[in-house]
Amino acid sequence: MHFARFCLLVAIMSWVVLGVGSLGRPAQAQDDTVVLLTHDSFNISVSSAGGF
Amino acid sequence: MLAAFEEESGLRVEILPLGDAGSLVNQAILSRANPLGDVLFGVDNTFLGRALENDLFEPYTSPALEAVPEELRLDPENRVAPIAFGDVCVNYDLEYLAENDLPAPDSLEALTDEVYRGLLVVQNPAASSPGLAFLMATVAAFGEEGDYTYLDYWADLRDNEVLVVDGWESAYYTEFTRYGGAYPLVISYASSPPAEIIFAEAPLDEAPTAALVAGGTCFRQIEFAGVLANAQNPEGAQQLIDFMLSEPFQTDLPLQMFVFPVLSEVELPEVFVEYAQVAESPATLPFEEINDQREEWIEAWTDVVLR
Repeated sequence: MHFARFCLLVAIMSWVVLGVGSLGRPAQAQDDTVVLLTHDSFNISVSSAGGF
Repeated sequence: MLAAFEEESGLRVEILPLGDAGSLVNQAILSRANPLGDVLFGVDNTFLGRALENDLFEPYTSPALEAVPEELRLDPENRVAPIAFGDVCVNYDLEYLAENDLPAPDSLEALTDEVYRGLLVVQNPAASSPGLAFLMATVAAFGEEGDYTYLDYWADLRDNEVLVVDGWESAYYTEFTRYGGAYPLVISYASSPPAEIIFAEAPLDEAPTAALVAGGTCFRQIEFAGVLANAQNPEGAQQLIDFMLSEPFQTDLPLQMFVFPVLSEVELPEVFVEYAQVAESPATLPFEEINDQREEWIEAWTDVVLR
């Protein structure tokens, strides 16, 4: 039972790690797009109208 | 603000927030081979070593870097460019101190004094960026060797009934007396007093809080941006970094994010000039040393303060 739980945990962790690693750029990002990764405190809006 | 960049460059900017600075760097490292974006902004000097040792960035020497003071340019290879800085300091509630006839603290040592027993709230450095910054300030101030180390200092703070909470928000908006809590001393930013003025429900003539900025009492966090290795649009990323170092963007930083611009010639807003204090000689530690020692410092701090 413990081993089964261990295997499940390993599978979930692998999925999470590999999943994050293979996500890549947002699908909608085109060649004319710059994707900016930042923290949640970033507060410079793209436009005064509140976004893009 | 970024609309000006979009118009000027013909590029669209997509912003992808990824949690706090630590989480941002960790996710960028995990996705390094197929990055989630082109440029990363927000890695600070407490996580810079981790980012650089994982080759997260491609070098880019923006022409605008020439105007940035040398002491903020920590990476000689220009894999990252400094964009903003802020000082993490002890803040205090002026009204509480006046009502209770207490002097404002004037040093880190003063916080271990009996008069401040049970009055200071700090953030857990394992979970909070300002908490980690304040731990670094104490490491820089008291050192790791000798008769009185940073751990001795923290043992004294513990004995003086310091309160530890997980994050800045709970420290400031729950425990700080200004917001109904019981602690008139809190770890926050030197730019928090002008924020109190700007966000006050009723107009204020004076800032209700102040920051202790005496020599060595604050830790300077410098925030950097860099072009991500394997980025799909490295030229666009470079243009965005140039824009972040331009006067319009730098001028906008103080009131948008309550940080200081790295371009010293940029004019600060009046409320910043009047109420934000720049730390006199902030504590700093080499980012390589922070990277090597960070986990050890946190572990030792946890043993002394929480166990």
